[in-house]
Amino acid sequence: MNEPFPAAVRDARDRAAQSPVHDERTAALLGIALGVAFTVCFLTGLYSHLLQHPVSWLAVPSRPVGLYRVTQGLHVISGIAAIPLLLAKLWSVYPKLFAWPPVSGPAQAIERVLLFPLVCGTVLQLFTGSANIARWYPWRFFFPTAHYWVSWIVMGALAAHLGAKVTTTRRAVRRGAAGAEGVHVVDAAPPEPGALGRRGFLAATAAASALLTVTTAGQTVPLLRRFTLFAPRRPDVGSQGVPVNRAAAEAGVVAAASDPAYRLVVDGNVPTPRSFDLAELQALRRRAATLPIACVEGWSVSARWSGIAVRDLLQMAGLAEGVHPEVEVHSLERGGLYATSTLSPAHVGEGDTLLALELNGAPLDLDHGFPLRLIAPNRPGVLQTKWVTRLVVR
Amino acid sequence: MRGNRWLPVVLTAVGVAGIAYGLVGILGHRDATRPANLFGWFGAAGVTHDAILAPLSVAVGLATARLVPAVALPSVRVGLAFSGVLFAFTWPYVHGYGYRASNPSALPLDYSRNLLWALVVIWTAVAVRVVWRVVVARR
Repeated sequence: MNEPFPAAVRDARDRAAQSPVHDERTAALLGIALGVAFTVCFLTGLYSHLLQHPVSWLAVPSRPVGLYRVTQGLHVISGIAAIPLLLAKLWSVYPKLFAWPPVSGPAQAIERVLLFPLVCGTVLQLFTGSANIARWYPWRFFFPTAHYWVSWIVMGALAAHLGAKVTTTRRAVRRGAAGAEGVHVVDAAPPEPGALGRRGFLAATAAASALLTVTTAGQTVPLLRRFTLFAPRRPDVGSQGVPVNRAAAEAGVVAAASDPAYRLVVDGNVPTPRSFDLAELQALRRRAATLPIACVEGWSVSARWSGIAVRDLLQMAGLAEGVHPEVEVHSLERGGLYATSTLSPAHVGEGDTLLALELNGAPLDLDHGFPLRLIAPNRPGVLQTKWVTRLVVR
Repeated sequence: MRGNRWLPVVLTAVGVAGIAYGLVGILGHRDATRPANLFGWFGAAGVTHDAILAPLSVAVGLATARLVPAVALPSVRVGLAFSGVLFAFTWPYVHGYGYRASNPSALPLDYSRNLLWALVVIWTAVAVRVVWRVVVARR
């Protein structure tokens, strides 16, 4: 069968095949790094999904307090770090797209068909993830749901790809580790003047990953805060020194939250339903806790909160000490996915699960959930319901 | 080795199961995933890389080979790759697509200025590296 590609493409492809940048070992090393990055992304993303969509067979712990801060920070950090890795990997194997004949047998046909979901899925995940943290939504699907289900396609395609390449990868990595001929010789003298050797290519890729990481990870890692150039948040920028995910105006609660008739109702499955106005809430026994606010978008910051423990309120409504049912937390916000959240028994029993009145020593700003907001340990920010007006005991 | 022979088969089967699970999830949550739109973006992601970004990189590689002296070529290419990645990543920030005046704590930085600074640092490093290479080559 004649090749369909023009001579220039064939020449470029055949010349590229001689370069260490496009050989097995480079592709294998980048593949391993990408495999690690995507696995970290997948597992941390799965954890975040399970926190937001709890399943009966897995109790979510309320400790360690900052667990979600770490996992979700890692999710975004590893995703951003994977961008140069993926581009380098695709560059490394790009000449193979023009291989002729395209397949040599049924096994390779399956392998190459499964590259389609792998390439499309990895590029799409990194694009949608990056756009989401920049709050840019040029598509029509709902990001969290699509990002979650596409991640299964990507990890499936990655497993299949690993299956196809496991022998090649082992061989390529061993060959390099043994310092065999042809590897370091090529590194020392690139075939064409001006061409990068393998080591130069990999070093540049690592440097690009490091550059993106260092200039964005400050949104969650305090030590890197001063290098924050491209993160969507700076953890010290926002009212009361804390960023805001959804402002009161955006949630449409400005009037309701400022209304002097505001009340907190505690009802549902309790012996004596209760209702408190703001002055009554302010007179109740306070607890204080240092807890992080950790957004699904990867930024996080620790803050000092003070307010009333949810379990204390339940006791005021007649529940016995030590009884920790599931509790629904309702916001003044009408409708929307985050107008209510559910506290697990583990979180309800936690003394640090607060309906906060104060943040960093001052009354809550409207944007932080005035008059009352939920703040609990090890919990995604979107579930830290703001402008709380009702607790319903299940 | 027995393990080596079966591992690819097992991993491929597990992988296909994962892909199928993802597809079922997408089709089972149509209101949220909008399958037609999502699959459009899915395909476009691969096409954008394979038919636009990669050929563009090839073209830039060919152009630099003609325009840039060999001694500076690797450094200039790395500088261009870094700049390209930064331009792409910061695109929505620089254009402020997600910015809302009602929430100034989201996207609070001067991203255009920061991008400019990063480019200055990158191209200074490229220049230093080229000068170094020239000096070494002359010795």
